[in-house]
Parts: sequence; C-alpha cells; structure tokens
Amino acid sequence: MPTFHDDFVPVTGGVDLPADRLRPDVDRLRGLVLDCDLDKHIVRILALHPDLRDRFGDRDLTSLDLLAKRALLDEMNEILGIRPPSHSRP
Amino acid sequence: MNMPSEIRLLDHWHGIEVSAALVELTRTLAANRIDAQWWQLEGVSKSKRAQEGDHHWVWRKLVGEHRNSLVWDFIGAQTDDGDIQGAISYRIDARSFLSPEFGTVYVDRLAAAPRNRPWLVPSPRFAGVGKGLLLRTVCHSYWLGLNGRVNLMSLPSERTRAFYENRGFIATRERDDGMIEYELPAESAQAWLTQEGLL
Repeated sequence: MPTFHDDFVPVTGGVDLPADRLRPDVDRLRGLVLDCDLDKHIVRILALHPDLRDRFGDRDLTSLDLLAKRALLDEMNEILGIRPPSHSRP
Repeated sequence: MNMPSEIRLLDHWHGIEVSAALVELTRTLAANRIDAQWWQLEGVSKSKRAQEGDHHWVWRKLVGEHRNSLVWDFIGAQTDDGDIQGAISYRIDARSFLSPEFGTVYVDRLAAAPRNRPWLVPSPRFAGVGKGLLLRTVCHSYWLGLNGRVNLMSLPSERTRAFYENRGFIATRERDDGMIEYELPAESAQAWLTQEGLL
C-alpha cells in the first residue's frame, strides 16, 4: 500500500546529459520509429548490446512471424541473463 | 516482456487503492491532460505555483521533440477518468555514473500532477505516482538488459533525498548547481523488483 510520503517533488529540471555521458554506439535508435512494441523492444536490445549484434546481426524483423520474434527474444534474454518473473517460472 | 501495465495509487479522498494505467504519452495527451490541466489549481497562488521546479515544463513540446526516436520514452499514469496523475521521461542510452562502461536508463524528468502534491494543495488526492513511475522505469532497464540500473539528477531537498536513498539509490556527486546525481545499482534495482513481485 503506498503511503502518503511516497510522493515527492519533481526530481530534475530536465538537466541534459553531456555527450560524454551518453553511449555513442546507439545512434541507430535515433530517428527510428516502430509501431510494434515487440519489434521496438528487440531493436532496442540489439542496439544496446553489441555482442548480441555480432551474434544475431541486423535481423529483418519484417521477415519473422510473431513466434519467431518471441523465440529470438527468449534467446537474447537467456544470453543476457534476464530472468522471467518468479510467478511465470516452472 | 513483463512490464507492468498499471500501478496502484492510494486515493486519499476515498481511502481506497485504485489502479492507474501506464500509457505512452502522445503530444495530444500531454497537451490536453498535462499542460492544459495540471496548473489549474484552485486556491493556490500564482507565486506558489511558480515556485514548483516544473512549473514551466511543456510536456507536449518535450514529447514532440523526441517522438521520432527509440532512445526516449514518455510514460504517464492515467486514472479511469482519463486524467494523468504523473509523468516520467527517460532515455536508454546513458552511461552509468558509477561504472561508465555500463549502460543505464537516465530519468530526464519525473513529476506528480500538482494536485497530488501535499506541500502544494490542501487536499491532495493520489499518492504513489512517483514511486510507481520510477519502478516501471527500473523494470524497463532490467528488461533491456541493463540490469535495472537507473540514474538521475535530483533536487537537493531533504524529501527527495530520503525518497531515493530509501530505495537504494546512491548519491554519486553533488553538482555546482546544487543538484545531486543519483544512481540505483543493479543489486538494489533487482532487490526492489523482487520485493515488488516483478522478478
């Protein structure tokens, strides 16, 4: 149950991060728009993890059906050590 | 993905918990439900409103500036009446303050609707908006393979410091402008997600 004190003032004045505090290797995400949430998530993960980019290359997501995309995401999650929530584990 | 699609808020007016949907902010939603509404506060003087750090923020413009980029996300907490009770913007291409070789999610802005601020209005309605939006961001960091790491720059007030530090954020630097740089390390992030049943 949230308490009354769980709310707080705005945390930032919109302080821009300088370039040296941003990753230079994810430029591919800028200027990119995708409508499908799953596609968006996969493209983001591939951009954020160069090792996955090397392994999976630039997959053409338009050529994959939903099941294939989910399988790809499962494989990437396993490599990254992303655990499913405890309530969905066998 | 197992991202939460809603958060729980405490409705002080009715003494009950309610849910609020986590929605992607569009320019229209930001213009109609934030910019046009948030500062229409009865009984709050203009000078008091102006003292709030986000009084001049124009969310419609902010959403518009980054709408064509997968680097940014703008999320609002929307109650059943359609109102936005709080909003957050963050970018996913930041470096960790603690270990720059790691990536993090950087919270650019976070605000509860002014009507929900107990220091601003005599009878705020919803509590828990800020926590819920922040938790959702930590969750997104985890699902992006960034281990839940989140960083931000906080106002130096006692209240905001306590809020972050109670949740495991570490102050990494105090800036010349008084803002404090905070980061939630991976271990603390995953402990919080586990505690909330999200891991």
